[in-house]
Amino acid sequence: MSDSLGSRRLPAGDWLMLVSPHRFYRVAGAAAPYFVACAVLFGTAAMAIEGFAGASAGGRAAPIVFIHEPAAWMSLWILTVMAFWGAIWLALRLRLARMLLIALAPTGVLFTFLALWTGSLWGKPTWGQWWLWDARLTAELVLLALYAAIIGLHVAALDDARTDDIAAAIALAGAVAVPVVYCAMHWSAGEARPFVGLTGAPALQSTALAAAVLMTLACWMYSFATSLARVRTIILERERDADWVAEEVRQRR
Amino acid sequence: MKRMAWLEFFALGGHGPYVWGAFLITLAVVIVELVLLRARRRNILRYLGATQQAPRRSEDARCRSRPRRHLS
Repeated sequence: MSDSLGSRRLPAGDWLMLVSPHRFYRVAGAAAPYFVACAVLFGTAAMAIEGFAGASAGGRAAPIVFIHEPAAWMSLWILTVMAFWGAIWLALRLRLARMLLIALAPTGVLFTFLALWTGSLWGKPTWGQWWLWDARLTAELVLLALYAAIIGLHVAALDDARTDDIAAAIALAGAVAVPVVYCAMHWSAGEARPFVGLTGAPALQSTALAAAVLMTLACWMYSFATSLARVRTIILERERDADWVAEEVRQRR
Repeated sequence: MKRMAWLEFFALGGHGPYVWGAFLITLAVVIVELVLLRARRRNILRYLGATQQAPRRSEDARCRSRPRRHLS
């Protein structure tokens, strides 16, 4: 099945055409560097504002929150996006949807791991505990298991449509169940465990809040960049028998 | 005086190991992700390069970094 894309520029209004893996491969390749640039920009701005001795409530181990909170947000958000693509795959059977689902998973698992690890590093000096089996931390651990399950599925069995169905189902279940639990903790969190949510950050001063938001944006841009890069590789893997793949590889290298 | 300030910067009032630990693990995770990404891409490109059945044409001259595979 050859694709007559050739070397012409993509017309700006052809959004629906992005559904084709070949076109998305091109667009993702063009777009990824911008996301990298944004990530670096936001990250640097965030670090500049926060400094390393930033004035934030929460004790002098507070700089950890600066990494921990964006990581936790991304771990939730990425699973939600994966669930979205999972739903698209289950409903519309678009190949690109399942590829995006798979592409997001490693980034998600790394953020979840980071959230758990930095959470422990924050918990130890602040409250004296590495771990606690409360709903929030347990939910994050469950999240890690979900991500690992999706990745493990694809390590074990590659191109099966049924594997992707299972992965999509896992992502959907996770996206529905875990944030519910997580938000439940938000309402029951007191002064001892400040929870920075979308609606407000009661314990942080405005500069620290700006730094946290910028850092979250930086992580978001970074996730875009890595998953776009990864989905390009996955497209090559899954579409390897297509004519356009051979041509692209020969031209790029 | 300057050395004292640096030491205090690293110690961060006793929380140094935790904060720097968090910073380092973040760095490590990012590096791991990027390395794995590159390895995966290199893998598939090598696989595609090895299985290409197309005859070698002059276009190959443009692909400087492509690994040479001798199919015989």
